Amino acid sequence: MPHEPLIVGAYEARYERHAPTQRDTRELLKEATLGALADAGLSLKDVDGFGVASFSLKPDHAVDLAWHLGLSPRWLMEDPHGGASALNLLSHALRAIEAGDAETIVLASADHLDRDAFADLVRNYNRVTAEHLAPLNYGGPNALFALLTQRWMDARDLGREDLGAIPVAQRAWAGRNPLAVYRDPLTMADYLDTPPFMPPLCRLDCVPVVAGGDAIVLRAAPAAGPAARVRAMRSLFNADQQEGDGLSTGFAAIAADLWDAAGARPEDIDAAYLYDDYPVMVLAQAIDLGLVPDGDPKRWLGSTVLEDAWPLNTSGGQLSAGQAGAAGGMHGLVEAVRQLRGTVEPERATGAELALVAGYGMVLYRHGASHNAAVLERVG
Amino acid sequence: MSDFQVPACANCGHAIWPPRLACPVCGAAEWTEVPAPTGTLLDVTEGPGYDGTPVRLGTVRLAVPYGAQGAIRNSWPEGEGPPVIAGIDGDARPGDTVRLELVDGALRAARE
Repeated sequence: MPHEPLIVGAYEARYERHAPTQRDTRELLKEATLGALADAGLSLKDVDGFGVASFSLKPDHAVDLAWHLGLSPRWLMEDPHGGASALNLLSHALRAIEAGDAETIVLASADHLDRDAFADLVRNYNRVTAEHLAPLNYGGPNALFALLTQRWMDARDLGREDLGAIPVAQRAWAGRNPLAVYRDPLTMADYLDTPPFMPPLCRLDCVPVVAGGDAIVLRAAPAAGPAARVRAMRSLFNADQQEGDGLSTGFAAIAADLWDAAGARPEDIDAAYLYDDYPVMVLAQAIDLGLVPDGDPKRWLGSTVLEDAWPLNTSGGQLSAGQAGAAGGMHGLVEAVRQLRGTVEPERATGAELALVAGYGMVLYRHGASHNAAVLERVG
Repeated sequence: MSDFQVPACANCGHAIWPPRLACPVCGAAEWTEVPAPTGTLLDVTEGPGYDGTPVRLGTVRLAVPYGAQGAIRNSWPEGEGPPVIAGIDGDARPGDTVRLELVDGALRAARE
């Protein structure tokens, strides 16, 4: 391949539980961009491609931010698709480098949502939410995912003690991540003692809203040091047109093609970064992407995730590290790149050489509409 | 109060809610209206609404035919209509047949 794209840098601008006044969205995007460039041994002057995802950049767009950063990019993108935004941007950035449209691309995402801004985002997430859900005095996505979680529990005979494996196991990983906002140990007993506020969901099933940012740097090969190469990536939107039962997702439709294109099988994966807006969605992605080979969710949750502490969302995921708005879509990708490049703190280093990253989101009416997944490998 | 109605594709009969621009089954973009006065309550949750007061929300599968070509990638029983999110009034429980009404833009469901 004439121009082979590699991910050569990744950075997370520190997440903060309560939106600070001194770091707004632009500052967080700057911090993430500069951090990722420093990680790659590059500077703003090397950048000729730039992509942004943020719910709170308005009224500015990618071109404003590029201007404020002094960039004159040949390639510029913005993606508003929340949990799928990072991999969406990534898919386009890979093609841009392959085609020679850009050589060094920064993809940055950040959000700084105070209480009012977050409430407005939830209430006016899309037209259907504003017109059809808001009039119900709707409780936000928690209510929709409570319904979906209940449906899963009924259909697959799961209890809170099964799905609780995800927040509990991820918290153990978060304890080894100084950037996670919740690091205190969490036991299954603690989880089961936490009363559901929107049954069957309790607060530990919901992501803490944070202010923060994430960024990666892509560059045409060769790389100076260890890098992450995207072996394959697939996307699908509106797989069920919001009409399905939610027990399968669009990931089921792309999985076979993804693994085939990656020349790998699910059991070859050393670590997985599944979009964890709610525990049930981690399970749904794991099943549909083939990580639960015997199809037994109870065994996977109880043995693989909880007992074996298999490398799943090793940052602690959004459930413990926090969800920085649209940057939630890049959180897992940054951790995957850091694991593959060997730049995470030693306490949680997995030595992973092959990782799966999934993006999910954009709740249009009943559940997420956007699905994308990538298989990444370490090179160099 | 008139019965709740939903759009159905003028070409293939696929019923949808909320209204959209084109039929996800056949691609036609003309609609008729079909009555959808009742449905089956599938699941319910209760918790704080926007204003902090408790809300009860549920998924209701409308009792209207999906149309000749059936649902898309849907493992639910065939021959049932689209799933909708409704505010649940009274003591309706999963499995109950509920009656739907659109009240000031809010879709409400209560036991028949």
